Amino acid sequence: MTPGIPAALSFARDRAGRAALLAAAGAALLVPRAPGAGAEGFRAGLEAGPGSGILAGLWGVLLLAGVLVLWQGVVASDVESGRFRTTFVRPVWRPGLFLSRHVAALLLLAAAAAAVAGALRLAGAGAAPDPAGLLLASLLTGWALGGLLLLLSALLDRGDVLAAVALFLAPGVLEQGTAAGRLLSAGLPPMLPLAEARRALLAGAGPDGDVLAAAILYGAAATGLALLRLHLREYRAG
Amino acid sequence: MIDFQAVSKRYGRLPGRGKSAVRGLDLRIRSGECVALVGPNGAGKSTVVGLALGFLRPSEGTVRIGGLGPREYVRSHGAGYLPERFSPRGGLRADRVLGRLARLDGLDRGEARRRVREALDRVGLAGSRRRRARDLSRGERQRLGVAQLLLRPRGVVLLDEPWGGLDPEGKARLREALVGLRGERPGAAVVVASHDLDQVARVADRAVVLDRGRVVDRLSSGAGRDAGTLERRVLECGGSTGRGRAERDGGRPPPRARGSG
Repeated sequence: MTPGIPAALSFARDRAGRAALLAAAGAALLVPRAPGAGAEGFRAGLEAGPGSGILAGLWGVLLLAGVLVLWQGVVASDVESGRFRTTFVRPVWRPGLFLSRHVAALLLLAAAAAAVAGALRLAGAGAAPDPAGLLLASLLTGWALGGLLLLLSALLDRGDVLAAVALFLAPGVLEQGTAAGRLLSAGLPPMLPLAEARRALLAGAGPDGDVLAAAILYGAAATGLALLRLHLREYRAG
Repeated sequence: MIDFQAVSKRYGRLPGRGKSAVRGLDLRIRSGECVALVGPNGAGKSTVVGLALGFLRPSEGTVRIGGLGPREYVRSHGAGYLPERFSPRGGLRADRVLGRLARLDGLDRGEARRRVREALDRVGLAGSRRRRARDLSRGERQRLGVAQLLLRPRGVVLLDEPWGGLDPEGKARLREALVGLRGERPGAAVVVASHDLDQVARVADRAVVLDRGRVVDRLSSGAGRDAGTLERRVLECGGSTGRGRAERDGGRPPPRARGSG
């Protein structure tokens, strides 16, 4: 551990540690709402304000981000360690390799979420969301947020940390309607519409077509820029 | 085979703040030849390896391998590469690490399994194939790195401080592996950047001495195989202590170097 750096921060320097922190934050947001909660994460009889609604959507997003950070493998620690060098001397197309890992992580993640939801339904848990809806919601959110994580990881050292911080800050800042909020929202995935689409999908309804198109386009643009950067960048030794 | 023409590489883009790692390098490595890059820390050896494999782009000049740019060559033919510290993902078993790389090498599943078994056997890790990479010692991980070189012999092989962390047995196995690689692909061009002059003298056909990014000496096969001559040349440049460089620079202490050069 580097002297002077608190243990928690030192832990966050490792990719698995960062993923665990994100997952823990997501779980911490979930647990107080779990007993007797409905599909949206609230107990009957409690009034939910707009901020709480976003928070409820955020736990799933953080869990998703945590797993993406863990599986994606396109973060500065991998680049810095020189690990990619022994891969890139093989006859591979770098963007194709990164894209296949990214998409595989998304599919595995969405399938795992759907399997858990299916198991809960079979076990008779009334609050369990519709597995098909959860699968689509995970894919949609993961594509948009995963694109942002991939892009920031490709551009910056530990960019995934910046993405996680932005996602933490986003609901509060966006709600205030400030200039900073507008600036942040210009670079972030369409968070509020995504949360609404997620709720609709979990309840078994279809998402709004515009939201679907916006999320898909955002994910495609962020992923495309990230792949271009990863294709062009230099890979120094670890 | 590998052709450097007036190649320079600077790190950092701000005017006056960049550091030149390689300056005006002209070097040709022919097919079937094993060339050693030697020199003190900060001489530019690792940068030359990075440029040859397309991990780095030259600031000036051109690098060609078999008439192609390095990235085009590597993407179409592949290359062998061993870094100073082979660092696979820690949670993977040794045979899985190699299996994945073998699949990227274009081997089918059955052939990959066979080559992985052979490679682990050749580096003395047959009994450790089910151990996770994080549980291997540094020397064992480096042997795993040697094994990944053996999966599919390539026309171009570059080793960057390959003997780091290896015990005498590991060093001997790496030398054997190099002989084996050159036997399987007689036309292979092999480049070894190393401080270990004793090992270099045993494997290289000739040596190129670098100092602060410039070629300061070229030793042909007779002289290149003599560890004493190599050591003398490197010490004249500064060696690991920087003594020679300081003397040549009029007693000024040598600049602090990052990495192994």
